[in-house]
Amino acid sequence: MLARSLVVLVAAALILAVCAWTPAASAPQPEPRFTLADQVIIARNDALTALLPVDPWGVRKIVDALNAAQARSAPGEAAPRRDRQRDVGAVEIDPQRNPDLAYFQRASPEAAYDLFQLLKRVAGGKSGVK
Amino acid sequence: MSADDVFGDAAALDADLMLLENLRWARKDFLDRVCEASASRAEEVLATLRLESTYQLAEFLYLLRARRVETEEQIRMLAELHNQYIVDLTKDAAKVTRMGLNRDRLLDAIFTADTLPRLLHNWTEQPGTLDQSNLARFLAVLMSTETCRKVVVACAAAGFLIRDRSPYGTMLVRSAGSLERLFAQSIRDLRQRIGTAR
Repeated sequence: MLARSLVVLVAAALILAVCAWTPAASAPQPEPRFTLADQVIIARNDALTALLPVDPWGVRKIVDALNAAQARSAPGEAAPRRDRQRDVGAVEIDPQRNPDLAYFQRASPEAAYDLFQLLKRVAGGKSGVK
Repeated sequence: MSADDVFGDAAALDADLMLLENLRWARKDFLDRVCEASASRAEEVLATLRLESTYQLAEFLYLLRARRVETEEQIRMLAELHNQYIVDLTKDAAKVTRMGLNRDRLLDAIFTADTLPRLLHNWTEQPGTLDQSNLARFLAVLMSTETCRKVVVACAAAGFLIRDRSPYGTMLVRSAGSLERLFAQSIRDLRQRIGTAR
């Protein structure tokens, strides 16, 4: 029960994050349509599945955001300014249960390189092999 | 010079493709070896072992071993360099955003007057042993605390890490040695494949 509440809470947090950088709907709309690819994404992410009957348009926005994020994730391509302002580390997402949402906790090659350099400094910049 | 010139030299391009193929092979081969060596065949464990975060943990353990970070002085130095790095990061908003982090997560990653002595004590008592929360601090720029916990739990189930509860209730983690050996062999094989391909 608690776990399900947490899933809905994460989903709600995601909606708020997505709504902050997508235009708000101005009038009531019919049920959203999902492509087969969209349905696959929803089915494999618990938070989206739990949210679908509660707020289908919220799920529509999240899936749109995921699709847009994947479309612009080419190397070297700068993200839009509003996207950059999102606090992506603020929501803990279980990557096993939400494989697509784990995009928002993406790995940073820059961070891995920095950590490598820290350990190199500890070792005095020399190879560990003697 | 045209931007397409890098595609003009067929021989160089072949060598580039060979390198890329080997890099891709090395990542795939490492994950295959990790899953094969896992003591657990549970799907949930194997799925976590295939995460990028598991690769990053393996790389961290490998670097500790390969750089011979063994003494209390060395782990103290690493913690101090880590703290300085985190403080510098908090002053670089552009980099923090670029890395997908936030200020609270960075502040939690700093070793404080409370957590630093525990780090040194655990390391001195049994070299290579870290409190799970301190391991998460070292890896904070790579993964969230929760992701670190899940990866550690999966690696423990796989037999790569040993987790023990300390008398103070904290979770102590140390490597069984096999994960960094698999990583080391993967890097060695990659280097030799690249050398052979020349």
